[in-house]
Amino acid sequence: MNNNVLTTCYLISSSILLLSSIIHSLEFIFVKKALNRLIYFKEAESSESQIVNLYSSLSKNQFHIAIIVLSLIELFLLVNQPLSLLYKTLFLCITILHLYSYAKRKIGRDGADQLRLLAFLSFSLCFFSSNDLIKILPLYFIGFQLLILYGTSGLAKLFSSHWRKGNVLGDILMTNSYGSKSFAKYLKSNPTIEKAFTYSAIFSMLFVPISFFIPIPELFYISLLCMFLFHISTAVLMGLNDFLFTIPMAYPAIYYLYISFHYMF
Amino acid sequence: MMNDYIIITILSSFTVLSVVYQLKSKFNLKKIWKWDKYGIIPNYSFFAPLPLTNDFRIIYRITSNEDTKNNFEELSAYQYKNWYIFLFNPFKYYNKGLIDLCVSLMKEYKSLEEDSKNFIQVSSNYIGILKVITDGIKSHDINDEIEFSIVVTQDLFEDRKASVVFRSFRHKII
Repeated sequence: MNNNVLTTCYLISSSILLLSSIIHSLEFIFVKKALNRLIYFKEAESSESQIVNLYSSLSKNQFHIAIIVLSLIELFLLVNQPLSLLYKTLFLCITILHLYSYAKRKIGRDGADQLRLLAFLSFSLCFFSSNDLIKILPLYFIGFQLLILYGTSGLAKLFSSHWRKGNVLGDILMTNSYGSKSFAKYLKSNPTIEKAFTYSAIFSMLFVPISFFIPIPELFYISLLCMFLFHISTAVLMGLNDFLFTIPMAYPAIYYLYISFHYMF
Repeated sequence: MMNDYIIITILSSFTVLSVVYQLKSKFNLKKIWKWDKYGIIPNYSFFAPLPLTNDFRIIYRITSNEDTKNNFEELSAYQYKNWYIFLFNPFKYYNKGLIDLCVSLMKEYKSLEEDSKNFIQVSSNYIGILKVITDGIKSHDINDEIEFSIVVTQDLFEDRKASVVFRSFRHKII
Protein backbone atom coordinates (compact mmCIF):
# COMPACT_ATOMS: atom_id res chain seq x y z
CA MET A 1 0.00 0.00 0.00
CA ASN A 2 1.13 3.51 -0.75
CA ASN A 3 2.98 4.92 2.26
CA ASN A 4 2.02 8.45 1.21
CA VAL A 5 -1.66 7.62 1.63
CA LEU A 6 -1.00 6.29 5.13
CA THR A 7 1.02 9.34 6.15
CA THR A 8 -1.51 11.76 4.67
CA CYS A 9 -4.44 10.07 6.45
CA TYR A 10 -2.51 10.05 9.70
CA LEU A 11 -1.55 13.72 9.43
CA ILE A 12 -5.07 14.86 8.53
CA SER A 13 -6.63 12.84 11.37
CA SER A 14 -4.12 14.15 13.87
CA SER A 15 -4.62 17.76 12.73
CA ILE A 16 -8.40 17.61 13.00
CA LEU A 17 -8.09 15.93 16.40
CA LEU A 18 -5.83 18.71 17.68
CA LEU A 19 -8.13 21.39 16.24
CA SER A 20 -11.09 19.72 17.93
CA SER A 21 -9.13 19.72 21.18
CA ILE A 22 -8.45 23.46 20.85
CA ILE A 23 -12.10 24.38 20.20
CA HIS A 24 -13.29 22.09 23.00
CA SER A 25 -10.93 23.66 25.54
CA LEU A 26 -11.67 27.17 24.31
CA GLU A 27 -15.36 26.56 24.89
CA PHE A 28 -14.64 25.48 28.46
CA ILE A 29 -12.76 28.69 29.14
CA PHE A 30 -15.91 30.57 28.19
CA VAL A 31 -18.19 28.42 30.32
CA LYS A 32 -19.22 30.75 33.12
CA LYS A 33 -18.09 29.97 36.68
CA ALA A 34 -21.63 29.43 37.88
CA LEU A 35 -22.26 27.00 35.06
CA ASN A 36 -19.00 25.23 35.75
CA ARG A 37 -20.30 24.23 39.17
CA LEU A 38 -23.03 22.25 37.47
CA ILE A 39 -20.72 20.45 35.04
CA TYR A 40 -18.16 19.50 37.67
CA PHE A 41 -20.54 19.14 40.61
CA LYS A 42 -19.29 15.67 41.44
CA GLU A 43 -15.76 16.96 42.08
CA ALA A 44 -15.79 15.83 45.72
CA GLU A 45 -16.65 12.28 44.64
CA SER A 46 -13.61 12.18 42.35
CA SER A 47 -11.22 12.49 45.28
CA GLU A 48 -11.98 8.84 46.08
CA SER A 49 -9.96 7.80 43.05
CA GLN A 50 -6.85 9.52 44.42
CA ILE A 51 -6.11 11.42 41.24
CA VAL A 52 -4.09 14.50 42.06
CA ASN A 53 -6.54 17.37 42.02
CA LEU A 54 -5.04 19.53 39.33
CA TYR A 55 -7.96 21.87 39.71
CA SER A 56 -6.68 22.86 43.14
CA SER A 57 -3.27 23.85 41.79
CA LEU A 58 -4.47 25.26 38.47
CA SER A 59 -7.60 27.26 37.86
CA LYS A 60 -10.06 25.81 35.37
CA ASN A 61 -8.96 28.39 32.81
CA GLN A 62 -5.27 27.69 33.29
CA PHE A 63 -5.97 24.00 32.79
CA HIS A 64 -7.73 24.51 29.49
CA ILE A 65 -5.27 27.16 28.32
CA ALA A 66 -2.53 24.58 28.86
CA ILE A 67 -4.39 22.17 26.55
CA ILE A 68 -4.80 24.88 23.91
CA VAL A 69 -1.15 25.94 24.00
CA LEU A 70 0.11 22.35 23.86
CA SER A 71 -2.28 21.56 20.99
CA LEU A 72 -1.07 24.59 19.03
CA ILE A 73 2.55 23.53 19.52
CA GLU A 74 1.61 20.03 18.41
CA LEU A 75 0.02 21.36 15.22
CA PHE A 76 3.27 23.16 14.45
CA LEU A 77 5.32 20.03 15.19
CA LEU A 78 2.95 17.90 13.11
CA VAL A 79 3.94 19.90 10.05
CA ASN A 80 7.65 20.23 10.83
CA GLN A 81 8.64 17.29 13.03
CA PRO A 82 5.89 14.68 12.96
CA LEU A 83 6.41 11.78 15.34
CA SER A 84 9.56 13.29 16.84
CA LEU A 85 10.24 12.58 20.52
CA LEU A 86 9.04 16.06 21.45
CA TYR A 87 5.84 15.59 19.46
CA LYS A 88 5.08 12.27 21.15
CA THR A 89 5.83 13.65 24.62
CA LEU A 90 3.58 16.67 24.23
CA PHE A 91 0.85 14.53 22.66
CA LEU A 92 0.95 12.23 25.68
CA CYS A 93 0.64 15.28 27.95
CA ILE A 94 -2.43 16.47 26.05
CA THR A 95 -3.92 12.97 26.28
CA ILE A 96 -3.44 12.88 30.05
CA LEU A 97 -5.02 16.33 30.44
CA HIS A 98 -8.02 15.32 28.32
CA LEU A 99 -8.42 12.07 30.22
CA TYR A 100 -8.30 13.94 33.52
CA SER A 101 -10.84 16.52 32.35
CA TYR A 102 -13.12 13.79 30.98
CA ALA A 103 -12.94 11.76 34.20
CA LYS A 104 -13.73 14.83 36.31
CA ARG A 105 -16.70 15.85 34.19
CA LYS A 106 -19.32 13.35 35.30
CA ILE A 107 -22.19 14.92 33.42
CA GLY A 108 -22.61 16.78 30.16
CA ARG A 109 -20.46 14.37 28.15
CA ASP A 110 -21.49 13.07 24.77
CA GLY A 111 -20.35 10.74 21.99
CA ALA A 112 -18.04 13.35 20.45
CA ASP A 113 -16.18 13.67 23.77
CA GLN A 114 -15.85 9.90 23.91
CA LEU A 115 -14.56 9.59 20.35
CA ARG A 116 -12.08 12.42 20.91
CA LEU A 117 -10.76 10.78 24.06
CA LEU A 118 -10.50 7.39 22.36
CA ALA A 119 -8.57 8.98 19.50
CA PHE A 120 -6.11 10.61 21.90
CA LEU A 121 -5.68 7.37 23.82
CA SER A 122 -5.19 5.20 20.75
CA PHE A 123 -2.79 7.60 19.04
CA SER A 124 -0.78 7.82 22.26
CA LEU A 125 -0.77 4.07 22.87
CA CYS A 126 0.43 3.41 19.34
CA PHE A 127 3.50 5.61 19.84
CA PHE A 128 4.95 2.49 21.47
CA SER A 129 4.49 0.47 18.29
CA SER A 130 7.15 -0.08 15.70
CA ASN A 131 7.56 1.48 12.27
CA ASP A 132 4.39 2.01 10.24
CA LEU A 133 2.17 0.44 12.88
CA ILE A 134 2.44 3.74 14.78
CA LYS A 135 0.21 5.18 12.07
CA ILE A 136 -1.74 2.12 10.90
CA LEU A 137 -3.11 0.87 14.24
CA PRO A 138 -4.75 4.09 15.47
CA LEU A 139 -6.28 4.69 12.03
CA TYR A 140 -7.75 1.19 12.01
CA PHE A 141 -9.02 1.59 15.58
CA ILE A 142 -10.66 4.98 14.98
CA GLY A 143 -12.05 3.76 11.66
CA PHE A 144 -13.70 0.81 13.44
CA GLN A 145 -15.04 3.12 16.15
CA LEU A 146 -16.67 5.26 13.46
CA LEU A 147 -18.30 2.20 11.89
CA ILE A 148 -19.63 1.21 15.34
CA LEU A 149 -20.80 4.78 15.94
CA TYR A 150 -22.82 5.11 12.76
CA GLY A 151 -24.05 1.52 12.88
CA THR A 152 -25.23 1.77 16.48
CA SER A 153 -26.80 5.19 16.02
CA GLY A 154 -28.66 4.06 12.90
CA LEU A 155 -29.84 0.75 14.36
CA ALA A 156 -30.94 2.32 17.64
CA LYS A 157 -33.14 4.69 15.66
CA LEU A 158 -34.35 1.98 13.27
CA PHE A 159 -35.50 -0.21 16.19
CA SER A 160 -37.09 2.71 18.01
CA SER A 161 -40.85 2.98 17.56
CA HIS A 162 -40.57 6.74 18.18
CA TRP A 163 -38.20 7.23 15.27
CA ARG A 164 -40.07 4.83 12.99
CA LYS A 165 -43.20 6.95 13.30
CA GLY A 166 -41.28 9.60 11.37
CA ASN A 167 -42.53 12.57 13.36
CA VAL A 168 -39.82 12.84 16.00
CA LEU A 169 -37.51 15.35 14.33
CA GLY A 170 -39.92 18.24 14.70
CA ASP A 171 -40.47 17.41 18.37
CA ILE A 172 -36.71 17.38 19.07
CA LEU A 173 -36.26 20.69 17.28
CA MET A 174 -39.14 22.16 19.29
CA THR A 175 -37.07 21.98 22.48
CA ASN A 176 -35.11 24.89 23.91
CA SER A 177 -32.15 22.57 24.42
CA TYR A 178 -31.71 21.44 20.84
CA GLY A 179 -34.33 23.47 19.07
CA SER A 180 -34.79 25.62 16.08
CA LYS A 181 -38.31 26.95 16.31
CA SER A 182 -38.67 28.10 12.71
CA PHE A 183 -37.41 24.88 11.20
CA ALA A 184 -39.44 22.79 13.66
CA LYS A 185 -42.62 24.68 12.71
CA TYR A 186 -41.82 24.11 9.05
CA LEU A 187 -41.45 20.37 9.65
CA LYS A 188 -44.62 20.19 11.72
CA SER A 189 -46.60 21.88 8.97
CA ASN A 190 -45.09 19.53 6.35
CA PRO A 191 -45.33 16.02 7.84
CA THR A 192 -44.20 14.34 4.61
CA ILE A 193 -40.98 16.35 4.60
CA GLU A 194 -40.51 15.65 8.29
CA LYS A 195 -40.81 11.92 7.60
CA ALA A 196 -38.37 12.20 4.70
CA PHE A 197 -35.79 13.95 6.88
CA THR A 198 -36.26 11.48 9.72
CA TYR A 199 -35.89 8.39 7.56
CA SER A 200 -33.01 9.87 5.59
CA ALA A 201 -31.13 10.46 8.86
CA ILE A 202 -31.58 6.78 9.79
CA PHE A 203 -30.70 5.61 6.29
CA SER A 204 -27.60 7.83 6.06
CA MET A 205 -26.23 6.49 9.32
CA LEU A 206 -26.74 2.88 8.29
CA PHE A 207 -25.47 3.54 4.77
CA VAL A 208 -21.93 4.13 6.08
CA PRO A 209 -21.32 0.63 7.53
CA ILE A 210 -23.24 -0.97 4.64
CA SER A 211 -21.32 0.85 1.89
CA PHE A 212 -18.08 0.06 3.71
CA PHE A 213 -18.41 -3.56 2.59
CA ILE A 214 -19.34 -2.71 -1.00
CA PRO A 215 -16.30 -2.46 -3.32
CA ILE A 216 -17.61 0.69 -5.02
CA PRO A 217 -15.59 3.55 -3.50
CA GLU A 218 -17.93 6.25 -4.84
CA LEU A 219 -20.82 4.85 -2.81
CA PHE A 220 -18.70 4.94 0.33
CA TYR A 221 -17.56 8.51 -0.31
CA ILE A 222 -21.16 9.60 -0.88
CA SER A 223 -22.19 7.99 2.43
CA LEU A 224 -19.48 9.93 4.28
CA LEU A 225 -20.47 13.14 2.50
CA CYS A 226 -24.10 12.62 3.53
CA MET A 227 -23.06 12.18 7.15
CA PHE A 228 -20.82 15.24 6.98
CA LEU A 229 -23.79 17.27 5.77
CA PHE A 230 -25.85 15.76 8.58
CA HIS A 231 -23.27 16.92 11.14
CA ILE A 232 -23.30 20.42 9.62
CA SER A 233 -27.08 20.53 9.97
CA THR A 234 -27.02 19.39 13.61
CA ALA A 235 -24.34 21.99 14.37
CA VAL A 236 -26.38 24.79 12.77
CA LEU A 237 -29.84 23.78 14.00
CA MET A 238 -29.06 22.20 17.37
CA GLY A 239 -25.74 23.76 18.38
CA LEU A 240 -24.00 20.36 18.43
CA ASN A 241 -20.81 21.73 16.91
CA ASP A 242 -18.63 19.20 18.75
CA PHE A 243 -19.70 16.47 16.35
CA LEU A 244 -18.83 18.63 13.38
CA PHE A 245 -15.27 19.16 14.63
CA THR A 246 -14.59 15.70 16.06
CA ILE A 247 -16.18 13.05 13.86
CA PRO A 248 -14.51 14.17 10.58
CA MET A 249 -11.25 13.41 12.39
CA ALA A 250 -12.17 9.77 11.84
CA TYR A 251 -12.92 10.13 8.10
CA PRO A 252 -9.28 9.74 6.93
CA ALA A 253 -9.05 6.79 9.32
CA ILE A 254 -12.13 5.05 7.94
CA TYR A 255 -10.97 5.83 4.40
CA TYR A 256 -7.65 4.10 5.11
CA LEU A 257 -9.51 1.20 6.74
CA TYR A 258 -11.74 0.96 3.66
CA ILE A 259 -8.90 0.82 1.13
CA SER A 260 -6.98 -1.62 3.36
CA PHE A 261 -10.04 -3.87 3.60
CA HIS A 262 -10.73 -3.91 -0.14
CA TYR A 263 -7.04 -4.05 -1.05
CA MET A 264 -6.76 -7.19 1.09
CA PHE A 265 -9.65 -8.87 -0.75
CA MET B 1 7.60 -6.68 18.22
CA MET B 2 6.17 -7.71 21.62
CA ASN B 3 4.84 -4.17 22.03
CA ASP B 4 2.97 -4.48 18.75
CA TYR B 5 1.18 -7.63 19.88
CA ILE B 6 0.22 -6.08 23.21
CA ILE B 7 -1.11 -2.94 21.54
CA ILE B 8 -3.03 -4.91 18.92
CA THR B 9 -4.54 -7.03 21.71
CA ILE B 10 -5.58 -3.97 23.71
CA LEU B 11 -7.13 -2.18 20.74
CA SER B 12 -8.89 -5.31 19.46
CA SER B 13 -10.27 -6.13 22.90
CA PHE B 14 -11.53 -2.60 23.32
CA THR B 15 -13.17 -2.71 19.90
CA VAL B 16 -14.96 -5.94 20.81
CA LEU B 17 -16.03 -4.41 24.15
CA SER B 18 -17.33 -1.35 22.31
CA VAL B 19 -19.49 -3.54 20.09
CA VAL B 20 -20.75 -5.63 23.01
CA TYR B 21 -21.57 -2.53 25.04
CA GLN B 22 -23.76 -1.15 22.26
CA LEU B 23 -26.00 -4.22 22.54
CA LYS B 24 -27.29 -2.76 25.80
CA SER B 25 -28.52 -5.91 27.49
CA LYS B 26 -28.70 -5.61 31.26
CA PHE B 27 -26.10 -8.32 31.70
CA ASN B 28 -23.52 -6.49 29.58
CA LEU B 29 -23.98 -3.17 31.37
CA LYS B 30 -23.59 -4.61 34.85
CA LYS B 31 -20.44 -6.56 34.02
CA ILE B 32 -18.74 -3.82 32.05
CA TRP B 33 -19.80 -0.89 34.20
CA LYS B 34 -18.04 -2.36 37.23
CA TRP B 35 -14.57 -1.52 35.99
CA ASP B 36 -15.33 1.29 33.49
CA LYS B 37 -15.38 3.88 36.27
CA TYR B 38 -14.64 6.79 33.97
CA GLY B 39 -17.06 5.88 31.20
CA ILE B 40 -14.42 5.38 28.53
CA ILE B 41 -16.35 2.68 26.70
CA PRO B 42 -18.46 4.72 24.32
CA ASN B 43 -22.21 4.92 24.09
CA TYR B 44 -23.21 5.80 20.54
CA SER B 45 -27.02 5.67 20.63
CA PHE B 46 -27.61 9.38 20.12
CA PHE B 47 -31.19 10.50 20.75
CA ALA B 48 -32.32 6.89 20.59
CA PRO B 49 -34.30 4.81 21.35
CA LEU B 50 -36.06 7.54 23.32
CA PRO B 51 -35.40 10.96 21.76
CA LEU B 52 -35.39 14.10 23.89
CA THR B 53 -38.57 15.97 23.06
CA ASN B 54 -39.00 17.97 26.28
CA ASP B 55 -37.10 20.62 28.17
CA PHE B 56 -36.16 20.23 31.82
CA ARG B 57 -36.49 23.17 34.16
CA ILE B 58 -35.36 23.29 37.77
CA ILE B 59 -37.43 25.62 39.93
CA TYR B 60 -36.82 26.33 43.59
CA ARG B 61 -38.16 28.42 46.41
CA ILE B 62 -36.99 29.54 49.79
CA THR B 63 -39.36 29.14 52.70
CA SER B 64 -38.87 31.25 55.81
CA ASN B 65 -41.43 29.43 57.96
CA GLU B 66 -44.51 27.26 57.51
CA ASP B 67 -46.70 30.20 56.50
CA THR B 68 -44.32 32.20 54.38
CA LYS B 69 -43.63 30.70 51.01
CA ASN B 70 -41.96 32.70 48.33
CA ASN B 71 -42.65 32.20 44.68
CA PHE B 72 -40.76 29.59 42.80
CA GLU B 73 -37.75 30.87 40.91
CA GLU B 74 -36.13 29.12 38.01
CA LEU B 75 -32.51 28.06 37.70
CA SER B 76 -31.39 29.70 34.50
CA ALA B 77 -30.85 26.90 31.99
CA TYR B 78 -31.47 28.26 28.56
CA GLN B 79 -30.17 31.15 26.53
CA TYR B 80 -30.75 32.67 23.17
CA LYS B 81 -29.00 30.75 20.39
CA ASN B 82 -26.55 32.98 18.58
CA TRP B 83 -25.79 32.60 14.88
CA TYR B 84 -22.29 31.27 15.60
CA ILE B 85 -23.34 28.25 17.69
CA PHE B 86 -22.32 25.94 14.84
CA LEU B 87 -18.73 27.13 15.43
CA PHE B 88 -18.63 27.98 19.11
CA ASN B 89 -21.19 26.92 21.70
CA PRO B 90 -19.88 26.65 25.28
CA PHE B 91 -23.41 26.72 26.71
CA LYS B 92 -24.16 23.25 25.39
CA TYR B 93 -22.09 21.66 28.19
CA TYR B 94 -24.22 23.29 30.85
CA ASN B 95 -27.43 22.40 29.06
CA LYS B 96 -26.41 18.78 28.56
CA GLY B 97 -25.24 18.60 32.16
CA LEU B 98 -28.61 19.81 33.37
CA ILE B 99 -30.42 17.25 31.25
CA ASP B 100 -28.16 14.43 32.48
CA LEU B 101 -28.66 15.48 36.10
CA CYS B 102 -32.44 15.59 35.83
CA VAL B 103 -32.71 12.34 33.89
CA SER B 104 -30.38 10.50 36.30
CA LEU B 105 -32.25 11.80 39.33
CA MET B 106 -35.62 10.74 37.93
CA LYS B 107 -34.27 7.28 37.06
CA GLU B 108 -32.90 6.84 40.57
CA TYR B 109 -36.16 7.99 42.14
CA LYS B 110 -38.18 5.65 39.97
CA SER B 111 -35.99 2.69 40.91
CA LEU B 112 -36.53 3.22 44.65
CA GLU B 113 -39.22 1.23 46.47
CA GLU B 114 -42.26 3.21 47.64
CA ASP B 115 -41.23 3.10 51.29
CA SER B 116 -37.64 4.07 50.43
CA LYS B 117 -38.29 7.14 48.32
CA ASN B 118 -36.82 9.45 50.96
CA PHE B 119 -33.41 7.86 50.32
CA ILE B 120 -33.27 10.01 47.19
CA GLN B 121 -31.97 12.74 49.49
CA VAL B 122 -28.55 11.05 49.59
CA SER B 123 -28.33 10.76 45.81
CA SER B 124 -25.37 12.65 44.39
CA ASN B 125 -27.66 14.02 41.66
CA TYR B 126 -30.09 15.34 44.29
CA ILE B 127 -27.30 16.86 46.35
CA GLY B 128 -25.74 18.26 43.18
CA ILE B 129 -28.88 20.14 42.23
CA LEU B 130 -29.20 21.49 45.78
CA LYS B 131 -25.57 22.60 45.68
CA VAL B 132 -25.98 24.40 42.38
CA ILE B 133 -29.11 26.20 43.59
CA THR B 134 -27.70 27.19 46.99
CA ASP B 135 -24.43 28.37 45.47
CA GLY B 136 -26.45 30.98 43.63
CA ILE B 137 -28.30 32.26 46.71
CA LYS B 138 -26.68 35.51 47.78
CA SER B 139 -28.17 35.92 51.24
CA HIS B 140 -30.60 34.05 53.45
CA ASP B 141 -31.89 33.79 56.96
CA ILE B 142 -30.55 31.05 59.27
CA ASN B 143 -33.99 29.43 59.46
CA ASP B 144 -34.65 29.49 55.72
CA GLU B 145 -35.31 26.24 53.95
CA ILE B 146 -35.18 25.38 50.30
CA GLU B 147 -37.05 22.98 48.08
CA PHE B 148 -36.89 22.38 44.37
CA SER B 149 -38.89 20.73 41.64
CA ILE B 150 -38.12 19.48 38.18
CA VAL B 151 -40.59 20.57 35.56
CA VAL B 152 -40.80 19.15 32.08
CA THR B 153 -41.98 21.57 29.43
CA GLN B 154 -42.58 21.71 25.72
CA ASP B 155 -41.74 25.35 25.38
CA LEU B 156 -41.74 26.02 21.73
CA PHE B 157 -45.19 24.60 21.10
CA GLU B 158 -48.02 27.15 20.96
CA ASP B 159 -49.99 25.32 23.63
CA ARG B 160 -47.01 24.81 25.92
CA LYS B 161 -47.43 22.01 28.37
CA ALA B 162 -45.66 21.78 31.69
CA SER B 163 -45.69 19.02 34.24
CA VAL B 164 -43.88 18.55 37.53
CA VAL B 165 -41.96 15.29 37.42
CA PHE B 166 -40.07 15.55 40.68
CA ARG B 167 -40.46 17.36 44.00
CA SER B 168 -37.73 17.54 46.56
CA PHE B 169 -37.91 17.55 50.33
CA ARG B 170 -37.29 20.76 52.27
CA HIS B 171 -33.77 21.40 53.47
CA LYS B 172 -31.96 23.97 55.55
CA ILE B 173 -29.69 26.15 53.45
CA ILE B 174 -26.03 25.62 54.40
